[in-house]
Amino acid sequence: MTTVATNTSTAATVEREGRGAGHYIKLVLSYGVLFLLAAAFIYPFLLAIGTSFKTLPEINQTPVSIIPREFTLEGYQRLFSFNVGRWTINSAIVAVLITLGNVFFASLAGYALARIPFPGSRVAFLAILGTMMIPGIVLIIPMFIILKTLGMINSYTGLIIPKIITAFGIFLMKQFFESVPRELEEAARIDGATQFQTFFRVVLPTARPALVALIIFSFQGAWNDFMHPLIVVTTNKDLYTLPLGLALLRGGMGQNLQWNSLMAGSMLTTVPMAIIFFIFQRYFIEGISYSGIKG
Amino acid sequence: MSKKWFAMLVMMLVVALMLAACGGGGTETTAEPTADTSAAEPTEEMVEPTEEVAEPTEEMAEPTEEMAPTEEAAAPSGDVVELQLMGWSSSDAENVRLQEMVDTFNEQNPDIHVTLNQVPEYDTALQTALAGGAPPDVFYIDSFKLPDFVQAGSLMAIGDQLDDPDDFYPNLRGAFTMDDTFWCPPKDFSTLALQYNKDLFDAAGVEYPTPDWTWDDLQAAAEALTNADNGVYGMVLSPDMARWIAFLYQAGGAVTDEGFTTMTLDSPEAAQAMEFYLGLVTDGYAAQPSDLDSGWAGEAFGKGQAAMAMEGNWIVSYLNDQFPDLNWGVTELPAGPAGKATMSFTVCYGVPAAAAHPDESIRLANWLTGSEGMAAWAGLGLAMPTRASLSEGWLAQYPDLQPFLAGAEYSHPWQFRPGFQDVLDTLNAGLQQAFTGTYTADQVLSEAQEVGNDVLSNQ
Repeated sequence: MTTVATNTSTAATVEREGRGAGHYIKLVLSYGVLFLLAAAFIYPFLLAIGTSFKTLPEINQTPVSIIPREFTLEGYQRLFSFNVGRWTINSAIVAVLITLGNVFFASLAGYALARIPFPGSRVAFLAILGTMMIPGIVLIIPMFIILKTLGMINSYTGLIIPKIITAFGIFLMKQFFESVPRELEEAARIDGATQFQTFFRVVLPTARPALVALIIFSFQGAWNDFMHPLIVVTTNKDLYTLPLGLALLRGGMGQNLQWNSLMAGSMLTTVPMAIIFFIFQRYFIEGISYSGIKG
Repeated sequence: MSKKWFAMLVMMLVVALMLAACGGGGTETTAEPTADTSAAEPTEEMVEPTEEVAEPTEEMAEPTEEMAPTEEAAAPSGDVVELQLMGWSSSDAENVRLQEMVDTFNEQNPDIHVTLNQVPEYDTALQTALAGGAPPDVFYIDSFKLPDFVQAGSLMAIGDQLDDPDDFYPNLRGAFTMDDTFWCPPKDFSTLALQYNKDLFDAAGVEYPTPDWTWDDLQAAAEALTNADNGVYGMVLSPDMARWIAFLYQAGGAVTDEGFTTMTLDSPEAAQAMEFYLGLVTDGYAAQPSDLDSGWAGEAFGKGQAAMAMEGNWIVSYLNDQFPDLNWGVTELPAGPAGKATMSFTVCYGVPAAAAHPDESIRLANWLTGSEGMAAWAGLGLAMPTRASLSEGWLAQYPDLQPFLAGAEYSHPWQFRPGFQDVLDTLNAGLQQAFTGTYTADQVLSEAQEVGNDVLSNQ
């Protein structure tokens, strides 16, 4: 995304200045490369949309075409014969709460580790970082046993609480807060702000780029997560999230794969993610130019 | 300045992580069907679409103490035992049928209430439940995985508590027998047979395959049917032990000796089977699915890129759904130097050693595989009944599928010893190499032989 933005603006400048043939060649070349890259990235996506409207026999036909020869809603009908609405609501609840939790706790913890000296803060930070090195797969069974002991299996709390704070989030926020000039906070303190006021009114607003990154990252992680819901939701199908439900759609063995309904389901999961990304991406770029002017 | 750099760095990191996450997801989806196919026990089961999700599935068999009062309050009579039947999800037709069977069972047994729980990622979900001490009451076990469950002590042997156990085909009983104990009743089975594309045979002027074909007939036909200009191969073969092993048995070979003390992949029969199988590919008469832009053999066959395929019952509904216009037939696998052989793939209903309600669980497994449940299940015409007494009725209903059922007589079970996944993985990796010509038949076999002997000596 960065490359796209920079190149376009360079190209635009060049055009305005209109400095001869060499620049036009560069312009055409850079647009050509960008166009090819964009096509390569967007083709699979368009194919997925097209496939979701195809009949099963047509999906296997060659040559593959994006536009269905025979338009059908079969895939969507099969998809909606499942409890997709419930899965979507569950996914949304879980992803939103996990994102909020992450933003709240990670920024507080990151700030404490960056700014408030307390005994063992370095050890605590290293311990938190250390948890990032443990592969998630080895935690599955211990996690299940702990959640079972706490009575959190088959519940929203089990889906949300274990994911509500991540080492990555703390690390990200701590590193950012360390780059915020101390003078800002000192000025606030001189004006009589308490520690919390300083944090919420002065420090946090400067952290917008890092927070946006954290929001996108947490939401995407929670929305697409498959393993955690799989072990938490053992029997209660009313708690299924979209990734779990879609895996159910796939059938147990590859032979039963019905690509049209699977692609229809993928559209359903992709669209909200894309919306979130596009909304926050704007703030992202804004954040960069904003801090750029000041720097 | 530094803030700007930080922001850009973060953004690049996020984009990179998102791409990585997407990449991971993508690989998972594509890799899985292949893995399933190569694991080769594509037997079939359930997922039940609408009703089940809407149904008050609530707490089921979750054995948490606090749940108990709620459960009792909800139960109509107070003494109803809640059971969870866990399996993987399969085609819609099978999922609906299994739910119907469970409903029938619940009606006939007012003291038991069974909830069907079909899960995605079955192996992970099951292992977590078993290791975490919350096992389902009845669950699917693939014959290949049975030895691992038995060795881990997670299973209860219920074979001697079933109605008329001698009615099950002996080799299917064998698939779930280990250390002379019959552990669990087979729910259905599939065998490998030879599918052929009638149009391609007609075009090449080759006679349709018959049950009395030999390896030579197969090779000659594959050669005659191969038309490189049109991208048509005589046969589609997977680099998969679960297919090659049929040729091994046809050649008179075996994977291990009878007492499982040593591997026998160094036998001349194994070498002969491997050379024949690889020869079809290296001579250019057969290709693997991925070389035909297909996820598995059935897809390549359906697209008409291969005139013959060697798959089990699961290919039938797939071809009917996805390639309704294909003009195809099916016959038994050809006979090798030592006669006829095929593989049977089967799944049983297991009851865990730590069952909370052993008697009720056994009653459920017994009913599902008894004459009533089995007839209802096999009546779908997908997988075949495991009880010999039901085969005639099934055949009358589905005469076209006779070649699959014929295999029941001479099929070998897909079951070895605990830890044999390593042998399967090694042999499959070797086959993959050999298909591209970088490994010889001898290298494939000797590597698997070595890994297998390690596995056997550790028992």
